[in-house]
Amino acid sequence: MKFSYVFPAMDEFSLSGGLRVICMPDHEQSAFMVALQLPVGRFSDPPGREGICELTAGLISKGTESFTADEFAERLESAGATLFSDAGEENCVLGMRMLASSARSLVPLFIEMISRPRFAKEEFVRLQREMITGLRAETVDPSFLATRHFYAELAGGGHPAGKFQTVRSLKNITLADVKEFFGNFFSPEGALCVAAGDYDRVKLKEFIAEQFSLWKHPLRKKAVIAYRIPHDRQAVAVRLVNKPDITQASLAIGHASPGEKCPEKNALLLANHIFGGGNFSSRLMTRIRTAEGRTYGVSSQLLAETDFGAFLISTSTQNSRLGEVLAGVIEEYRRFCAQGVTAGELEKAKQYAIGNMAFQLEGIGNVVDKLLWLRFYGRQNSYIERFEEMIASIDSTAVNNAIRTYLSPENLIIVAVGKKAEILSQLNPFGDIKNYHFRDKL
Amino acid sequence: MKSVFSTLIPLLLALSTSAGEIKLPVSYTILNNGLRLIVVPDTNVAVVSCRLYYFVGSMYESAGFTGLSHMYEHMMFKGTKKLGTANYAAEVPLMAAIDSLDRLLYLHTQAAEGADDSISRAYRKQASALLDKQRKYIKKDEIWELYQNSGATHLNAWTADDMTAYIVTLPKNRVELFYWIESDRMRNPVLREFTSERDVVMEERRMRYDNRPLGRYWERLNALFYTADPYRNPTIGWAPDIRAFTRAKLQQHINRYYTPDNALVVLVGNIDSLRARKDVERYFGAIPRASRPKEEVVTREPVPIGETRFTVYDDAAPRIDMLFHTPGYPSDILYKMDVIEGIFSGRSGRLYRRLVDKERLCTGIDASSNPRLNDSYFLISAELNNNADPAKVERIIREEIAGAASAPPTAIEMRRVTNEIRMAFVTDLKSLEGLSDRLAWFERLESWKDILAYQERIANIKPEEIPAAVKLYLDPVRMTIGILLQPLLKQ
Repeated sequence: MKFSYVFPAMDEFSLSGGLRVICMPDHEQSAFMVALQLPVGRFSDPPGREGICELTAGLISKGTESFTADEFAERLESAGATLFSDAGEENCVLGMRMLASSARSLVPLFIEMISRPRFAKEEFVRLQREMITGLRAETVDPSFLATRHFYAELAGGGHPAGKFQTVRSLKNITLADVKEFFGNFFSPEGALCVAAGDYDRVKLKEFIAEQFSLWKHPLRKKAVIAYRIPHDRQAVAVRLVNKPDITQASLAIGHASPGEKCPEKNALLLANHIFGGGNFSSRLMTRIRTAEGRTYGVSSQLLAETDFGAFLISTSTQNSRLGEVLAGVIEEYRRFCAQGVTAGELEKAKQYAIGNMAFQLEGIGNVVDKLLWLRFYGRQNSYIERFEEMIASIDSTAVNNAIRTYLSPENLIIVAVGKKAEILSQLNPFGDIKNYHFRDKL
Repeated sequence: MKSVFSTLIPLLLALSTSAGEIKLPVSYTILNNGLRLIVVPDTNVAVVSCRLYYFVGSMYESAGFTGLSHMYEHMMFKGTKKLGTANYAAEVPLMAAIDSLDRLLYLHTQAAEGADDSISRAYRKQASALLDKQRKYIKKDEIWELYQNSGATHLNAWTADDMTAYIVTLPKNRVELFYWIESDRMRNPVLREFTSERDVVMEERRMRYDNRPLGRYWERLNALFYTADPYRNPTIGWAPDIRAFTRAKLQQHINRYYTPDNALVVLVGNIDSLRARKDVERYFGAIPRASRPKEEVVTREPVPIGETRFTVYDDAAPRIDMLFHTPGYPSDILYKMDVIEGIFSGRSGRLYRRLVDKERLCTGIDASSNPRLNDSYFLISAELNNNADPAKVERIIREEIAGAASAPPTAIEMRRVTNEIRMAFVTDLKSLEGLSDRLAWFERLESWKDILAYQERIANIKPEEIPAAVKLYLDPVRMTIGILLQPLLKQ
């Protein structure tokens, strides 16, 4: 598979307020979008106020100083525009999609939204309530519980990855807290805006520079970049989370791994693809699903923030088969770590990585996402434009070295969420069990 | 000499959201064996989205056979007589022996009421040994690997009520692989590793429905909403039906529905229409039609004679769902229902304004019109605040419906709805895959060309036409209402 991608022509510049801007004309569709990435995410939630970053990002779109939430929504909806927001661990993105013909009237509204949000009490209460209701629904989902317990065990309460929004933490947040969080972190300094769409290149640059120059606000606090947790636990940790009403247990198995800045990140991604990330062709799927028919899905993933990362295997199976599935997964992982990957497997993984990158760049929305991702980690466009070369240069020795350095089947964290009466005896052979109930607070 | 194509309609059509916003150079062809082909060239990309749609889904599955289309989706990578095997002839008797044991195991399990006793373990052991023997001949994941080695992405499949899709995106110079594999799969599928895949489907069912409060709630609510129409069956199938699947049952289903006269190929991307038509004819043209014409589902939902109410206490966020029957596609009414959806939905929609903004009873509320081939439906879903009185929420929704039935929407509402639909359309058609699915969906319902007229039809609806449609179709006296409450609220 040949991959040749060159980003569309773009202008990149900084404004006096500290905002970096990328303007990228795209005439394929009569659409336009602005996306603003702020370098603050959930890891910066203060203790006891977990959920505040998400709440702040959501509340920003509920009206401005000039418009109530209803008026603001009506202005956008009557023009067919939509807002989006996503609070990640270390950054958050706010954006607006619109028809190109509406850009001139709606971009100023977007800037008013991010610089002078209304923060109305009734909107705050409503959003807080929505988040609590949503969280209550999520916390009965077995796979959600398994992942949350995995992070609780991995990171503990002292690390940002071990803190979670809870009903209590959400209820603790006041509107004053939100305003303070906004004042501290929502600044053009260090933020990146990408504007793309059906617009003349020169006019686009002028328009965006003129509009975003109006946004000035100092960054008052430095956001949290979570540190990497070393994979040096002294023993296997097993958590059993009792959920008596379910017939199918969920499993989360894994350990700490390096973050996005790790030099061997791409080698590790290729390794993960072969082991459990490659859908039907992965070793885990081949054994646990295809050969044994024990699960609908089993996968592994490398979750990576800047420095912090985790390697996580997830699956589910009926309660009565939990022990054999867990044993199969661990046996397969041991074999993988001991034997490494073959040249043939690696070649296919490379082809997939390259093909998938082409796919990730389809459509202007995906290109904008990719630019935000690149710049957040300080990367230039050449990272993508030379992606094939970079992937092709990784050989099996490099991948197997990365496996030996960063992956290990020893001292795993194992979390099983299921009916205790059925799964307890099956879990016993894997280590000392810490027992929880699914309603226990983390 | 027969003409290669019974129909040949290469068209360059502008699909305008406003003047000339989207251009669709669509080429439409029907081969002599009934296979339909849609090609949309786009030289701005280096890949081609290749999709094979079969016009079969759970609506064609009767009692005892529910879930067969979905089961076949699971078998997609198991191969053919040529692919995925080193010796197909040697596999045949092994599969027959496995099937015999599987039948004995099924009958025994039924008699023993599911007990995992020594007899069933012995059957399973024998079947497992036979499968191990067969696996010596199986070339594992050959189809998957052929695609992957060619740089394929988005390799997947999905099953719905009305149709099933097999999808892959390939580099522009590898599209022939799609023709080769899919034509072979259409002609010669082999259902290898059937029993283990059936177990996988049971795990999927547990994950999506049995283990999920919202999943089981929806499954039952849907079955209550449709009294007679086979849309009442879940796409994945009912658990006892899945357990009773046999290789022979599935093969019969395939022979009946997975034929060229019941299929559509859609190619969108960097591809030449004329070349594509020739290649598709070369690979698929000789595959025969089904031995007997497909029998369309004749069952239609009877007009409800009263309200159906379903209350569940389960561990999920509380909600109310109101379902209303609307006509099958095509029907002018469905365009009006899209407008009604817009009036009720969104942050500026009437329901949000009233129930979330004003009364503060809900955290979210949405309305949607869902066109289907036979019996469509309109849905209003409200997510309740934990302390909200569901009766009050229901009463307010009824009031809003009554309001919409008595006065036309305002000009502002109409403009908002039209713009939202226009933007959604532009967004949807941006991706190759989105465009493929849209074209296929309209072709399945009636004709892909309906996509061209859609926005104009919406724009032509007059506000004064809306109240009558609301009155006729959103009649609470004949709705099905689901209410999901948390167990603590039961008292």
